[in-house]
Amino acid sequence: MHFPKQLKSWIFPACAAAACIVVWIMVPEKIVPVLRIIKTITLQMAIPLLISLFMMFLLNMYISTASITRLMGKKGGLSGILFSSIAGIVSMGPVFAWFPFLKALKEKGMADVYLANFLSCRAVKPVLFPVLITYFGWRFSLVFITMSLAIAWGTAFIFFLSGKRLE
Amino acid sequence: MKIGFPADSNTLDALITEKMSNATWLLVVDTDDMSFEAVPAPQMSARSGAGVQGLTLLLEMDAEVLMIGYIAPHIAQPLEKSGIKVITGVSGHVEDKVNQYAELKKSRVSTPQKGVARGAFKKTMKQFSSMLPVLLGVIMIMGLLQAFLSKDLILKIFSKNSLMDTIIGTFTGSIFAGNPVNSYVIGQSLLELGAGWAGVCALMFSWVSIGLVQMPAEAQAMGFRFAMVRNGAAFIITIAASLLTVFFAGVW
Repeated sequence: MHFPKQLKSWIFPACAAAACIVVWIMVPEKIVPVLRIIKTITLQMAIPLLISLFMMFLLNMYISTASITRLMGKKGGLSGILFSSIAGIVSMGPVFAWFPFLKALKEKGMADVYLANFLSCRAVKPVLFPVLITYFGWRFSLVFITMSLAIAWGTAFIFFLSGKRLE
Repeated sequence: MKIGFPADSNTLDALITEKMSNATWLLVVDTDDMSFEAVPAPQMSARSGAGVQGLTLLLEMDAEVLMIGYIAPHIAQPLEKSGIKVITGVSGHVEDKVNQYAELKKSRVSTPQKGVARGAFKKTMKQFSSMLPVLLGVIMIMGLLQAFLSKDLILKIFSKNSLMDTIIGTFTGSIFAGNPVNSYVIGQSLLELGAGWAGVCALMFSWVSIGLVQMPAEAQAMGFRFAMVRNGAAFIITIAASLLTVFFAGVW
């Protein structure tokens, strides 16, 4: 019986839609800004989501579980950190657009520590360095970018330690 | 192809047990992508016939092949007759046996490329559709929160105490998502309006690295524990990194 399981996954969006309706009734002037922001977020995530879908297809088509396990499995080591860091840094758009792709990678055997590193490394954006300098000056920007990477690796390290503790 | 195992734990590293009644977990692994389902095995102490109950469970989980150390012939025969392949004398780790079986299958059968592409497409759509409802929910919640969280409101909640502002900034940034440039613009405006550097810095860090509102989607994709540990760890490190950043950048 699969119906209840499918229905269960729609409870959260149904609650969110209900919250929007409540806002519409209680604070009608806010519903237009809410819808505008929802539209903006949807448009922002459209391209990354399409890229993510295409990568999932390629992953399912060409990449074997053995390859993922070798590079980014539990014993991935430095190569796992390197690959997941680069992938996180170059990935674009809202983080949740990448969740379906990460789910596919996890199912293929990618270890949690590298998934965490991928997500954290998304904060490191060298391409935005000139913009950062324009707003905040070079010294702050340099420290900021360096610390972004430190946060990413620190998070991955804590994740690694928490995994070790559970083993 | 789905392969069923009686095992001693609920991971792919689990050891295959000799008999169905010795198992603490039942695993069904899909050889296409190594995804697996695990359910606790019926316990012998609870009631008799745990082995048969375990087999029934594996069949309900759509196992097409059963790998086990030993199974009584009078149980194996009906299974074989109903199309379930039974392989006995198996021991070792689940993952190794699945890989061996998949390799063996691959060497015997050459699947047409068109079929593989269709399979990959179907699988991609299945993976995506399982994430779609929660993604829609996250987008709606973010729309609601961002519509109510104005720049003025954020400024009001900053306290001028560096540590408190860092915590507030981290929390606020983790509610938003999107292009990091937006966080730079908001950060710059907040500085102009008199907010402290530490809070602004924390807001910019957490904008991309923490996702409180997106947590349901993250938990759906990678598991609840993963989402909790990752966001929790990032939250604490972001606070420390923000304070260090303003110190080293000379804007304390």
